[in-house]
Amino acid sequence: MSTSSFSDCPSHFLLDQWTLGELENAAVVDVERHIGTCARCQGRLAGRRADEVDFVVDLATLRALQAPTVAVAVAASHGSSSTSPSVSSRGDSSTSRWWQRSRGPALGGLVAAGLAFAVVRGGGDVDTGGRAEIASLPSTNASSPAGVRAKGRARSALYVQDARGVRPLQAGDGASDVVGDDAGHDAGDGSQPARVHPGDTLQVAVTSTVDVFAAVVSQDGPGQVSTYVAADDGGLVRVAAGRNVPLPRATVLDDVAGFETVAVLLCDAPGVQAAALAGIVVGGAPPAGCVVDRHRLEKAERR
Amino acid sequence: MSLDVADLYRKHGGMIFRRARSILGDDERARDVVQDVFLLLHRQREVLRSGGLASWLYTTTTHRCFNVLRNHGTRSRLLGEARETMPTEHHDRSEPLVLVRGLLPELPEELALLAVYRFVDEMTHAEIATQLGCSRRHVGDLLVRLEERLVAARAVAS
Repeated sequence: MSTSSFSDCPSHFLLDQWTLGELENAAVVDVERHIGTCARCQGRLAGRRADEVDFVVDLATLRALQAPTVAVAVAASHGSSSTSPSVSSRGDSSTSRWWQRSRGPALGGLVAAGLAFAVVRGGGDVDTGGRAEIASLPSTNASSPAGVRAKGRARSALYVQDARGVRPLQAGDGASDVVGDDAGHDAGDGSQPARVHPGDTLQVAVTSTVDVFAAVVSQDGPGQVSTYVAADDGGLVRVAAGRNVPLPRATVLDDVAGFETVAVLLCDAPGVQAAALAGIVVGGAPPAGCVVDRHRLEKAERR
Repeated sequence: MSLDVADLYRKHGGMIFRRARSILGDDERARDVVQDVFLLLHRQREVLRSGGLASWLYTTTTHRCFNVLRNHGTRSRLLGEARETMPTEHHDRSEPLVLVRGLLPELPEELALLAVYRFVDEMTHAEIATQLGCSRRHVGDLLVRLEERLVAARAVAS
């Protein structure tokens, strides 16, 4: 085995400096010229992006980075053997572990998988703001795992994947509100709609300590209603208990600009047809035993 | 200059995760490393006002990964996996990485850093010299020593 130079290709370090915008103009030109003509580097970049998609932004960590002295409460997933306790304060950051282990497939992986069978039609969807955080437990049944704050209900979060990777849309990116059994528990703050772009991929994830049933419907500015996620028979899809469990379909946004509302219906039981849910997108009451999260989005060309 | 660590986490967490996973060969521990790196960055953000974020992230990630590798359980697991998967005939770019990953817990700090920079990050001699704070000549000497270790490791594996 030789330790001589692999090639004249830029190192991953140089590529990361390029990504971070740390290179001088001349170096940027060199790197981009090389990439434009090098099949290996184009493959490397694609591989890097694919690997990075597997990274799921941990919202508890994100919150800690934003406000490290504020109490953080993390609900654990039902059925997980290693639940995360609520963290009341920032201790030694190097030793705290807030996300859960032994959960299902990473969201990012499913987002990537979702690209293969993405539904893309008129409309996009997008995300939610602060409620993308790890959430609470449905008030319907099931005792809570030890150490878990058993209050609230199942919640949805939206993630967006673009060329830079996967990220949750954060508070301030958009507005959301909650209607249903515990309406008002986590009402939106009236902030601006989340900004998304054509070509972005959206993934809805649900956090709950018990299995729930879900569908995602959307209505764009002109009133076009689309079903983004539903079972094959048009009913609700079962979502296993857990934290940030991705729904079985991602949506790639088309190039129709404008506002859109995405409604995520979460129910205690199946029996609801997604096609009958158009009214809930714009404010109608959800069926009994259900709550709805509405996420308001604005899709615009990337500048 | 303001530094929004949370924003950096969103934007570049994937980059650190990718690299940590390359070094550790383990998604779960790579996520732990990402968390540690960004929480440390949050605490030390003042030192970043001078720039050089990529270099800081690389150095910190590497050392955090080494800490993980020093864990006895991880070391045993990695060594076992590496030896099981070491190719004996097929030599390509992935071979050194697999080999190096298995050797990392056993290498002296300087050689371990060199191995990561060379085989995970594909750095040039000049880049490695900058990261290690030494001369390119010294990097060349270290590479010779590293190659000797790798040849020996392959001999053991085969």
